[in-house]
Amino acid sequence: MNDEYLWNKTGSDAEIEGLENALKAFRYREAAAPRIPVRPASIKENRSRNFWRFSFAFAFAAAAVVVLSGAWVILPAIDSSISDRAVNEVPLQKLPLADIPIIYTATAIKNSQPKVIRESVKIRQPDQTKIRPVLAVAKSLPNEPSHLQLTAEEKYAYDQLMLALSITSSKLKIVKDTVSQIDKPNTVVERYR
Amino acid sequence: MPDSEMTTNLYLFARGEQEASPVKPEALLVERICCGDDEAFSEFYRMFAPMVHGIVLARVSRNDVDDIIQEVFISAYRNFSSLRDKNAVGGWLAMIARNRATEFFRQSKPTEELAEDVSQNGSSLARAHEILSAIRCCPDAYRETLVLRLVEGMTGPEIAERTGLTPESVRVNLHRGMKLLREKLGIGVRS
Repeated sequence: MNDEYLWNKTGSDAEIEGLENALKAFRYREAAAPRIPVRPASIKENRSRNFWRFSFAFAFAAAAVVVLSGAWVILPAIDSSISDRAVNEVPLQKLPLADIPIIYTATAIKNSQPKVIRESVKIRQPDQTKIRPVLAVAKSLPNEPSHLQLTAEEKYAYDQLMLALSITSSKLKIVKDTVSQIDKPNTVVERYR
Repeated sequence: MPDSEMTTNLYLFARGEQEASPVKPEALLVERICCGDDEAFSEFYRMFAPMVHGIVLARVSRNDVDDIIQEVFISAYRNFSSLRDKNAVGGWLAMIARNRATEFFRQSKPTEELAEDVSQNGSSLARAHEILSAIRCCPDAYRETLVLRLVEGMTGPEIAERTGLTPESVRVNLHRGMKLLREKLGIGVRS
């Protein structure tokens, strides 16, 4: 057997040539290439693009749920802290008592939160020991209409005071309702009807 | 060795890479196929179809070879993106062909292959079937190399290049396979 012929067809070997000739019948006959499937690469690309699109949508939805639930839990706490701060930051100033309506806020005074209210009450009625159990009832002074002409600064102070009082009263109402755990009418008018 | 070359080799060694080998024509074809060039796929088919045919023929019946070749090339086309070393596409394709043929062999029921034209040239075809059956009885490594050499008419270096095997192992396989085939066919005994 000629090894060189077997390896690279140099020289000759009758025995191997005979085998080659016999097996020629099974040799590959050139045929057309198979029909290429329609762009599998693009299908793959679309699949991956869809995957990323769904992933982003899912991640966004999950983040939105987390943020909303967090806000739902945290916001009441923030709100209460903001309203406390707002009350504490109300500037303490001596208002011309004759110009403002008399306000009695029994619960507010009891809880010693709103300093403005306490001062105004003290100044107006310094020797008052018993406070009427009225919650945020405002009384105007009908006999002195001329005194209601406020300057811009006074009006600002008045507005601030009213804001502080409304915040305080609503907060105290919430606290009271929470402590008492009783369903009561929501508004003052309804309560005293 | 110049300093720059040594530095490059050291750098490649540190990165765990070998020195960049020259790009083979089949690797360029694969690049073109990946870019959507259908003509490149036809060229690729013409280049590797005999090799795939030989590998499949060494394992399965002749009637099923054509179908399996088509499956192999379609499978390769779908998975070109997963091929990391484009230079090794021959070995990769050969592996796909082997796997497909083995899979087909497992699934198919055992049948007896019948010669197509028994009436015409009966003796030569019968002889061809006899030789092919003897080759199929050889171990995997031998029969594949023998079919590529004797049926497809490829030389040793061509077999090594297409299949990704080393020339040394192809040479050894050819030599030992031929020896075994001669024993099976009784050629050695007669001569």
